[in-house]
Amino acid sequence: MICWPERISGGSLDSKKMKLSQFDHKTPTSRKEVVDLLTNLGQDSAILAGGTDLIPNMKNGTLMPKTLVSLKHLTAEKEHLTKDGSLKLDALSTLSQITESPLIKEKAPSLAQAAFHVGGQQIRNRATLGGNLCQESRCLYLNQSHDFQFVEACYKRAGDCCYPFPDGGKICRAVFMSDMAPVLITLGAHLVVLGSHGERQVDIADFYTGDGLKPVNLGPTELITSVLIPLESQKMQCRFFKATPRGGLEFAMVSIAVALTLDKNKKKCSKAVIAVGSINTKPLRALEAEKHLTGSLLNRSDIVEISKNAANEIKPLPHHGYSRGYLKQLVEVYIKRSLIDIIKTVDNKNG
Amino acid sequence: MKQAIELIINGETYDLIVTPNVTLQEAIREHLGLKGTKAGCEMGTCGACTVLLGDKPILSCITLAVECQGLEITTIEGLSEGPTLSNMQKAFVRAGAVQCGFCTPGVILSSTALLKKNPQPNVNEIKKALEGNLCRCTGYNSIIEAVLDAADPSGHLDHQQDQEIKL
Repeated sequence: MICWPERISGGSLDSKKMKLSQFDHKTPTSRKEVVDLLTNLGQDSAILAGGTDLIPNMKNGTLMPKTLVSLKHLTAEKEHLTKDGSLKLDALSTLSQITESPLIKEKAPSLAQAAFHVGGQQIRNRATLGGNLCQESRCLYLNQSHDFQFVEACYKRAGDCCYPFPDGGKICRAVFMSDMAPVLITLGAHLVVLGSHGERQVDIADFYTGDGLKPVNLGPTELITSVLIPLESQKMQCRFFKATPRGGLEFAMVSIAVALTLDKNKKKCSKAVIAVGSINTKPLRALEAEKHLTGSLLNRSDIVEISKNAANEIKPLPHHGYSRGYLKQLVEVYIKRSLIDIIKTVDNKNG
Repeated sequence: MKQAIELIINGETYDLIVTPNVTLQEAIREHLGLKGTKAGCEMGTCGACTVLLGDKPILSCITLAVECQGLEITTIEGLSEGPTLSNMQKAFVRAGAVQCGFCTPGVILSSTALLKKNPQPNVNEIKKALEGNLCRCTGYNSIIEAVLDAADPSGHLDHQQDQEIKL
């Protein structure tokens, strides 16, 4: 059933303005205090870090928290190597900091690349790593102002329909758009999560639920405090590509992260991870292609086949007007480009 | 619950009493009457509301005023000194990089922040720095020329030639 809005232009100019509705604003001074506040406040609260995802979603009515728990009084720890050699990033690091950090550029260049391609300069200056990993999922029908919304609320807005997939079962298929998540998946990162029951570590591969309604595996009283990238991942050859129609200030059509562990001086691949973001309700892995790459010598003719197979195995949700076939083609092209780029780098080093 | 906050805008301290749902853009434009900061999409997409927080451009329409308590903010009004325009503003006038002018305050602030970080940017660096500022008159070419001009008013860099297409 499709219901069209009665009239877009009705009402005064003022009523169309994007005003935020009232909420309470708390400013705890420690991470522990944040968890305590979240525990006391219950479901109707949200964490405010950079606000670049939360505030627009509050303006368009996707999220309506009664209380915002602001992290502005918490200071972000500088990125550093821990005793076991892991690269530790504070979840409060802004994407600009990640883009500019010499340590991250050296140890996890694809992560710096991914951060560089998020939003625009103004967004990257405010948006945090933790916020990017926990961002709200997106759908052409969902993240819109009310004037452009369909009348009936969809599953995500606690309604009983889905506009893009009317016959798709009673689930929300909003796409998870983080560019940082696929990169961290290829790097085997762990998230340190603080909650009322203390601290826990989650493998980022288990962090995404695949449920459009609640894309991340994070309790209502929990927050991500830091991200750990293990030592062995820092030696991988990693690439990140983001396909966008315009080239800036955009969510991806598809984002591709590839990380390969290569033997010294040889082109033999001992471990391969390929993650595809912005294509489904959670980042997907190209497991068959990974299996094919593992243990094989990298060469260009194989890569054509591997990327074709990867595109076959990835199941895209058509989103924001892009068809399944087109998205599959993007996956193929960008995986091919990533792998060829790695071969070129290795050739240059060996040559 | 209303909160008393202090904003340091263009070097002047302003005391405000606001509810938490007031954005920085509303505080600057409606509460303080500094109309140079524009309200465009109000969803963090167009960049018309760009202000500098410290020396970093941010989007004031998706930043809460209460989050900026005690912080230094520069708006377009803070760039000129009385009737004397800043170098970037002068370059925009010289290059004619203004059509309707709605995006101009945001673009000039983003460009000013770019030159502070990178005094001699190339065309691609300028495009990247301005990706968050949409100009619906599509006057991007003259905007890029203005920023190149501001970076090097004597025109010693042969950036014009870089952009020329040989017939």
